[in-house]
Amino acid sequence: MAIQLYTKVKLYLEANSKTWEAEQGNIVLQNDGSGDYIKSWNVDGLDKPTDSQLASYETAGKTEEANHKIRQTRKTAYGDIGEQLDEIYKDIDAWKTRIKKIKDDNPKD
Amino acid sequence: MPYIGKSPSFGVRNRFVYVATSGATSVSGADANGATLTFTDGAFVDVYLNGVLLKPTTDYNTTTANTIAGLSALNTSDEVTVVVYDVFAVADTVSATSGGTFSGGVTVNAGITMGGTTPTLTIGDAGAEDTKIVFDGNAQDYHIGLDDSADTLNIGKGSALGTTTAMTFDANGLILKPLQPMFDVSATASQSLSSGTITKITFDTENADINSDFDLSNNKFIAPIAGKYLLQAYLTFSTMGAGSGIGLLWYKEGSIYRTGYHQSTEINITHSISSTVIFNLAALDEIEIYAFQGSGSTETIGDANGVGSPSADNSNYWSGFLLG
Repeated sequence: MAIQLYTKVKLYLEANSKTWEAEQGNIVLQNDGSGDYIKSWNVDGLDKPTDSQLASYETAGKTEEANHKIRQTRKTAYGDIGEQLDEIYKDIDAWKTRIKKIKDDNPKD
Repeated sequence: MPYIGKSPSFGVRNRFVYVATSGATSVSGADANGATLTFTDGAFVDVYLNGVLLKPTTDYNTTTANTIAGLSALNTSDEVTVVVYDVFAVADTVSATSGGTFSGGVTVNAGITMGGTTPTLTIGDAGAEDTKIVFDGNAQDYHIGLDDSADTLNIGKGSALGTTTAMTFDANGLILKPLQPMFDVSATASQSLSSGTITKITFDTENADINSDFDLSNNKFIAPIAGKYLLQAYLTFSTMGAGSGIGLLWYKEGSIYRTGYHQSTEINITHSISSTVIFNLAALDEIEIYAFQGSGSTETIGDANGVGSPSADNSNYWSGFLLG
């Protein structure tokens, strides 16, 4: 599957000491039916990335998206935070064992 | 103005003057002024001889049509004056005072005002036939009429009742507007949405599109006329992790007009978002729907799997109509 434009932009921002979370209000990514594109870019102090700059994040993007998927899988497996607190209160070692197994079963790249 | 005698158009009293020849005992035909004696009833004739009124049947008779006969032999230059009283029949007219009935068509080349306590214009006579009022325009005619077979009051274009009907009222008070612009579209397949990207939503099925205002090829509604439109949409997002934001964005003429946004606090739950908006549109304004999701991954939309929809179809839909 092709790497999302969002992922490449996110990595481009991070490579330039910025974050998607902080800048997403200054960037509009859009898809009118012919693929994702940058509709507007108003990031202070950072130019809109060129196509070649974005293409350079293809490999890193694959890793990022794979790890994101793993994080989501882990988060789902961890369960509700309230339930985990109860689990820790009752038997913290058992909780640690369960969490470690989840991490081992879903290793990041 | 009141008058006695002759009206401008109809004679009610005609006078004929004859200058006699010696020995004549009758007068008829053209008189001294060229007027021809005619009468329909001898009882309504006065005959004067040299200014003296003669006695009917004794001094003259009217046995012969249009002839005063039986006179004593006249002398030369005797003047016989015949006064014919006749009535003109005011047949087949409607009384201005009492009213009445016209049995044929009537053309009025000026306005009509109905006064009185309860002015009422009744069209029809309880018969089993359609009745209507036609507005005869220069370029376009319209009609309001009763469709007797359907028992509906119809308003429509043209002069013929039942063609291009824009509105009907039935006997129960239900009102239909069969040509009012309205559409309903849905998607039978899910659509991928990149994270963080405002993506135009596509549809593939027109369940209804009265007036053909929805452009299914380009997934946009195009207003056919300036007016207020009520549009509503429902989008179903796939399962996403906690903190994932989703949004529905209405685009008007290529720019964001209204936005609905939801950020999940739940884990692994299918989200949906719906929106209803009244637009004040100009003719040919274009409306599109975009969606947003911020899960970090590519997600699908239009997938209501497990919610009574095994095929996961038709969980994205959009409909709307012209309010007025």
